[in-house]
Amino acid sequence: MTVGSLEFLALLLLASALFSLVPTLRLRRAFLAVCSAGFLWTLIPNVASWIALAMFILSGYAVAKLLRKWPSLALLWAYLVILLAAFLVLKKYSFLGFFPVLLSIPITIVGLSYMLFRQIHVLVDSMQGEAKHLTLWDYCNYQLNLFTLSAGPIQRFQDFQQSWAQLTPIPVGLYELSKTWLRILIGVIKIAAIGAGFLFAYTKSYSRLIEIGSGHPTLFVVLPWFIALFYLYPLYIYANFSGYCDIVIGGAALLGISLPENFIKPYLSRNVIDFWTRFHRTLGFWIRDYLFTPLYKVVAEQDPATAKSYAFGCYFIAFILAGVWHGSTSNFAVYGLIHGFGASATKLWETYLVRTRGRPYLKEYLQIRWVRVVAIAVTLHFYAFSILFFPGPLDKCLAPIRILVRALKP
Amino acid sequence: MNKIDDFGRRHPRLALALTMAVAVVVTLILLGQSQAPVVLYRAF
Amino acid sequence: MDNLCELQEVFHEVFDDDTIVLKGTTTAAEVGGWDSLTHINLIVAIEKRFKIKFATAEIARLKNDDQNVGTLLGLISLKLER
Repeated sequence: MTVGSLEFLALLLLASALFSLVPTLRLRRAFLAVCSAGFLWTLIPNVASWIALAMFILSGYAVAKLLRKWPSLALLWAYLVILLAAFLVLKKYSFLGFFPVLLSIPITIVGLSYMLFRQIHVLVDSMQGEAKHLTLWDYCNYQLNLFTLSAGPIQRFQDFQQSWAQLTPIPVGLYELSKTWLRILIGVIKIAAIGAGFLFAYTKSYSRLIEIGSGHPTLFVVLPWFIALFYLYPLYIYANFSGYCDIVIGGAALLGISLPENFIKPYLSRNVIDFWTRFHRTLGFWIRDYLFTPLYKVVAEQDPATAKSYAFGCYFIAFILAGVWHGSTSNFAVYGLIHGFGASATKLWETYLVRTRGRPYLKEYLQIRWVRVVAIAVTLHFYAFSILFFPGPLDKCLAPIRILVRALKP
Repeated sequence: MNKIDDFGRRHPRLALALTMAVAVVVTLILLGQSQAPVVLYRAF
Repeated sequence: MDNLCELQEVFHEVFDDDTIVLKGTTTAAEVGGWDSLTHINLIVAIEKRFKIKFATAEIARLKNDDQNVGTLLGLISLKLER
């Protein structure tokens, strides 16, 4: 079953109506668990996948409990190495092509990347005493919640616990209920109509460009198709993913779970760092809190005076890993690398302004209207360039760029 | 946005009627499609 | 020396600015240069000065808009008591 399908909407309507009649917290929790189990049932294809999923989740829970009792960095790292190795194999990362048998394992688990990040966060927080009252029941419901299973948002366990403690429908009154359903329905329109339209146009532009490119086209012929696919893919991504988030955030609210927002006007970001606090922001915050911060902290602890110079290295590592998380082929690493450049460039520019004009000037500079407009335009186009490396394997991504470069040559 | 919210709170049945109208549109869109909508990020 | 004074000294060192005066209500927005990198440098300096350790989730929470020097001091005092 897909989020946003007619079956999903019909079942959500039925479930939310029944949920509002369930009298006790215990029964409401059971109800939500049954809904999540049912959704999962439609997604897991075979017994091997069920076993792999169970091992993934249960081992994470067991190690989290162990770490709570015996906080040990060695244990955490040992488990993380095994977990990440399992993740790379289960997601069939392309570099495993040297071991073809690993790529033919018949296991598919939807949302594994999101489960991985939720698992790492709970492990770290458990070790540090920040994930309190962790029970198997709570943990399974957190990890397998139907509203965050497929594609996030990456909710923190503590925030899930807050909702789980009451689990009462969030929209109160006819207007709030209508508004929630309107959000869900607009989400479906974004995916099924708007996003689908952009994807159709993008696919047509891409095919046409490849067809033209097989000859010796002039720039005049190539450019319109390249420009079309340059802008269409970011529009498609936003419509599709934000539409999904509208559906799950609205749906979760009907069943008592408050999910974090994942998009806040992302294409109005003024730089790459700002972008990741607006686009798929729960991922941005996770990367900041569980990847970048610990990494930079280690650097800062060694030598506080020169730490900031090493921040750029930390940006690259964090963004490349974030890129690799997105997918199993090398194009995603390139996507991450580009964003590493973008984040470093942002920081370098800020540092340059402070060094040459002083910090009070930076504050003024950030208020200047035309600077903001230019910054937004540059960031948007930077993102559109980076997302050229999203749609498929590296060859497929590079093809339009190669055609454009050839057409540019005299 | 606040003005829309205020209006909606004063006319909740209108809000419901609008929602139901959009629901009809969505149903027609989904029925008109040969496959269920694909969530891109589900691939990750 | 009370915790606020000691914390203020840490701020002077990290931000290289002796004119910073901290109050319980002081927020990150009011201190020039308090960005995400300096935030981590500050955390490291506070950990060293007070001989405490912040959890990953605590470091993240301290960056939220609703946090200020008062909440930071509260957290430091709690850790010192433990």
